Amino acid sequence: MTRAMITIVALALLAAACGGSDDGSTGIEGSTLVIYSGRSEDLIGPLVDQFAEETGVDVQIRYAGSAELAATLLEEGSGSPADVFFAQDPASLGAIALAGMLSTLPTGTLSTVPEAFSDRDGHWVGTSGRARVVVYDTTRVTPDEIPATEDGFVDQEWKGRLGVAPTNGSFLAFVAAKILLDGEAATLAWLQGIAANDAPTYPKNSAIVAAVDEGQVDTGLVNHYYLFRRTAELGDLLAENHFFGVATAGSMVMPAGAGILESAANPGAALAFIEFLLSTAAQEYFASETFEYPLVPGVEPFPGLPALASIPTPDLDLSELATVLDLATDLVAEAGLL
Amino acid sequence: MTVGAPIDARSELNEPTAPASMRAPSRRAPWWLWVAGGAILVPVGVPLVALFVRVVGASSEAWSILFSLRTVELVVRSALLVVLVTASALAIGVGAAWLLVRTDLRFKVAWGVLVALPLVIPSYVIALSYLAASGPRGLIADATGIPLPVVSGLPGAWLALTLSTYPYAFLIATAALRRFDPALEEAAAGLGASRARVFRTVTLPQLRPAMGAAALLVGLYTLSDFGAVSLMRFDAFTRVIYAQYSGRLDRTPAAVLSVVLILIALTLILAEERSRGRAAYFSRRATRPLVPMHLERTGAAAGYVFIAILVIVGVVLPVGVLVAWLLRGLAANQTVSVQWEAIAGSLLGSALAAFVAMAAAVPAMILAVRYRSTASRWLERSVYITFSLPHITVALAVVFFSVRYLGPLYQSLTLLVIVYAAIFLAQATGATRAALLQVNPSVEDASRSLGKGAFTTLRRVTLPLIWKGVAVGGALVFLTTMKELPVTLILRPTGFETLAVRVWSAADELFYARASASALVLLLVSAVPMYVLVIRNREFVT
Amino acid sequence: MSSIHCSAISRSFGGAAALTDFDLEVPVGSIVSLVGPSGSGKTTALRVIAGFETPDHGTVTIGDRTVVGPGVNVPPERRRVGMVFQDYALFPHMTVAANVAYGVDGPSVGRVTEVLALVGLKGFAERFPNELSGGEQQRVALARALAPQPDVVLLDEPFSNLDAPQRDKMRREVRRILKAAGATAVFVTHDQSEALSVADIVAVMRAGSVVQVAPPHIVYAAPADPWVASFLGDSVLVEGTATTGLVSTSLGTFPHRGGAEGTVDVMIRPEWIHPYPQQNGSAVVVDREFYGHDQMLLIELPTGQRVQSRIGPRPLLDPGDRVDLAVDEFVVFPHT
Repeated sequence: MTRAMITIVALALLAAACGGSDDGSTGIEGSTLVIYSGRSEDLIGPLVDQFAEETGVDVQIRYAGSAELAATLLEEGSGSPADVFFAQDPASLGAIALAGMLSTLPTGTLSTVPEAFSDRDGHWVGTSGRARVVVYDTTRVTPDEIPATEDGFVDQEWKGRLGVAPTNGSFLAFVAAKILLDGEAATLAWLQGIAANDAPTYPKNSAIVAAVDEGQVDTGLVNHYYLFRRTAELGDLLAENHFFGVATAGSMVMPAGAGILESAANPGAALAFIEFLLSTAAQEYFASETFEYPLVPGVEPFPGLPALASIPTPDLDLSELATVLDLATDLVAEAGLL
Repeated sequence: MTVGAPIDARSELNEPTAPASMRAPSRRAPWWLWVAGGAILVPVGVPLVALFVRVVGASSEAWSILFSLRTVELVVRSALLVVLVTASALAIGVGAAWLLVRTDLRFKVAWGVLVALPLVIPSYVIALSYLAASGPRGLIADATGIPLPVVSGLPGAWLALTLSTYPYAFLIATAALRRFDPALEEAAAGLGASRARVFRTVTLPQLRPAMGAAALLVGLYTLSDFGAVSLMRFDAFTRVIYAQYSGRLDRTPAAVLSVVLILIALTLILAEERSRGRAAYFSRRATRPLVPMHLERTGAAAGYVFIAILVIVGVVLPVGVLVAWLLRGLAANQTVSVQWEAIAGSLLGSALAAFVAMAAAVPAMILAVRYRSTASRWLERSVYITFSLPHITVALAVVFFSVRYLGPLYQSLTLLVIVYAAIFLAQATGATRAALLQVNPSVEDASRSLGKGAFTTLRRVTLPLIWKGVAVGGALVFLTTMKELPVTLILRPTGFETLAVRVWSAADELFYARASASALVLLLVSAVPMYVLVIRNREFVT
Repeated sequence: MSSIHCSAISRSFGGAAALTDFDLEVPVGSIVSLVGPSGSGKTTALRVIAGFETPDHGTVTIGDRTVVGPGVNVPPERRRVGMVFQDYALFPHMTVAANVAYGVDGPSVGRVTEVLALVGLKGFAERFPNELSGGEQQRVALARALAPQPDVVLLDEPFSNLDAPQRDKMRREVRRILKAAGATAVFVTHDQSEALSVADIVAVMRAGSVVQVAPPHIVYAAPADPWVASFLGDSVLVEGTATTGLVSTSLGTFPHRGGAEGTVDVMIRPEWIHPYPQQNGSAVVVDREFYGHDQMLLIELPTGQRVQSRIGPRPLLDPGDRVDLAVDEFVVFPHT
């Protein structure tokens, strides 16, 4: 009898514990969550699986480029089946926010990360940080030679030696930032200078890093983590990252982020997913598997990366980026890079 | 006063004495043929209509791009690329086809497949592999110590696209050469023409319709390609259109640019129609079997060398790079696993697309060939126009349309398959047209004079005679769908995987080993239908 | 089998008239040849009867059924017209038996055997068209057309794809087969000797309409106008002057019962001109073509005009021989 009682109590406690561990997400188990992810499956697949396992949510996730997904969302409008948009760069998120398609996140969620990395109006929150860097060929360039800011690259000595990816979302976000920081005229002048310097153009950051490592170009403007990805894949490299020492558009740390669609069918699960992305486990995943900067305080970045606080980032309202995005594209085109 | 001459000096009126295939039809096509053929206008037309609607509502700012210097520059560059790629693809394809069909080189089965194989390699994979292999620190330089110049820009795009497209010319020219009546060439040779002269004055002109069809496919494909062109960093139209889509909230400029692309495509289409001439190339009697030409030692050696170079450049190098990446990644402890879902998804999507394309091509081409009218001509042209559009343009147009009007069909496999068929239909219609022109139209008249109506005639006479040619078109659609990317990414059902998507998503994040593994599986899986297409089909191998 | 009646058929292709007021009467069981130069509209006429062309105006009646007329246009598959195409149009993917059986409703084996025997191709049932010679293919085409027991049979230049020795043989064969089947047949040809030898009735076409319909011997000996005369065979044309009861030409003066007065054109067939060797003959032989069974002579008249004369193999005349000429038949046309 006693044994049976103990067993029953134990089972009851166990059940309570299991039920309790859902903390706040009871009710979403078994429901469907549709995520549009501009982050690739190879990067975040395991993370998503973990979320699905823990919560019992049936996750339906579409992987594609952030830009294509943003364009798709805009075409879909309120008829979109998506609940969450998880994007690679603030430009794509900003575009959707500007179109009024994202709902406001609860302040509790937003306050998990520093203000600078989320939308000021609370439509999306940053999940991991991606620093703009200069990747350089160590056999041909030393760190001292690299200019203090991106403006230095218009000098004659850098003719043909800087690679850029003008169609890439991060680059366009960078140009948008430069417009906000340095003004339209200065940005156009810089772009024209880069173009006049015969800067080779690439379709994406990964191509620039590959080119630098293979000696096809000396330097490039990219996001920091590609170098680490390539190292993990191919072993030691001849390329290295260089962080600008001063606050400039080129030293921005741009977050990847997520937001909930206004037209979401399952906002409860959507919020749970975003909060999961901001959990310690997920942040550690970003640090160690994707080599990005965790944004939640208390989680350390991958060894070898400068601390987030030590990077001199400009003071910028990321949500404003979307407002000058079209202008950024125009300027890039006007300079002849597009 | 003359003896034996007709008194009546009035000139004879010209009765149309052209062969039956060229006569204007004096009976109308049955209604069900119009319905079946016209049905394809829906998926083919949606992107065009959506573009039109966008463009009509465009602001003057958006229109101003049309007339900017930059756009003119783009038109010139894209046109240049199209001309170069078409010329080289045709030269290589026809040359290889001639070697396969008309000479007595050996091991034809093997190299026949290998020569056609680049068709199954996505153009961006070819481009990626050349980028990795070339350059002062590329794979070739690593392996052999010889620093090569970087392959990129116009030469790079030209190379990658030529490799991607010459198999079209190869397959089409092979089929055409098989149909030749050798009597013509024997006659020319008998009159003392050298081999080269015979080739130039008898063989080539007979190949004209086939080469026109191949040139159109190659040219339009080159216009629509984005992967190779962007990786090789060549400023073509698609690159800019893509940038406009990814950089803006306002999608109108992209639509306007797409319209310019359509105009270029239309020019090519109309040029090809002109070049067709009045060829009616069904043979009226049983032709003698081909006697393959014997090549002397130097000729044969040259032939083998040509083919070897082709196979090395088109297959060995890209595959070699993929294998190298795979091994390197495995050595660095990257994980690679077999993606059964992706394989199943690729096969299913491609097979369904092929069937839909074949089913759509037959009625449309019967209308275009047997019941020619302005309407049927524009039906065929619209198919080619959609083939020339960048796939992202098509995908977004379909999103817009289907979210609003097709409800549950959005993001379904059905819609995806229909859009696949719509963008690649031109390959099926080209092959079906060629097959139809092989059929003596008197045979269909004969069937009707024997009491069978239009539908029975189609079923019992026309279809049995054309199905092999139609199947070639289906195979081409299958192979190109296997490697398709932008439409798949945007329109696929959530969770639907294909090998092409796996390759892209892995390569995007520098998971080269995984990308290579998926790409190699894609190649292997595609090689099987390629083998069937080239070998099983007696059309291709002597 | 039925008769065919075409009335006032006209058809234009983009401005050019192929048929203008075309009339034709084909009696039951007769073989009619539609003959004319290329461009005369004969193939168009055939296709109108078959249903592959729709005329702009006019009616076509087969037996007692109107197949083309105001408000009526019966499609080809319901006209019960058998057609043999110029290139035979055999179904290449079917055997001979399957080809022949194609138009036959219901069980066909017996009928196929019967018809193959009729055309002399017993035992060919399992062959494929590409294994047959031209003549054999034509017979299969004919068998296929006859097998469903059509109301009429139409043949489009049936012998033009055969070489010369085959042609003569097949002409006799096809006539035999059609007669044995009791067929009402119309065949189109541009070859005048074919038109005359195979048909019961010859319809001569020019520029879209029929200019003369008559049995071969009449159309040959009494052509409707000089053009028909020269189209259907060799002819000599001379000018003459007609007075009451007489017409005088450079070949002599002959009695003539027609009412013509003044200048006329006189047509004489070469075989109606008889040369008699005479020491001081008025005319002289200029050239001779010897065909074995006859000679074709070119004779120069005192006026300088040259005429043709066809005579038997004997006496053999040489160039340079002087002759006198006699004419035993001629046709007088009004002068144009």
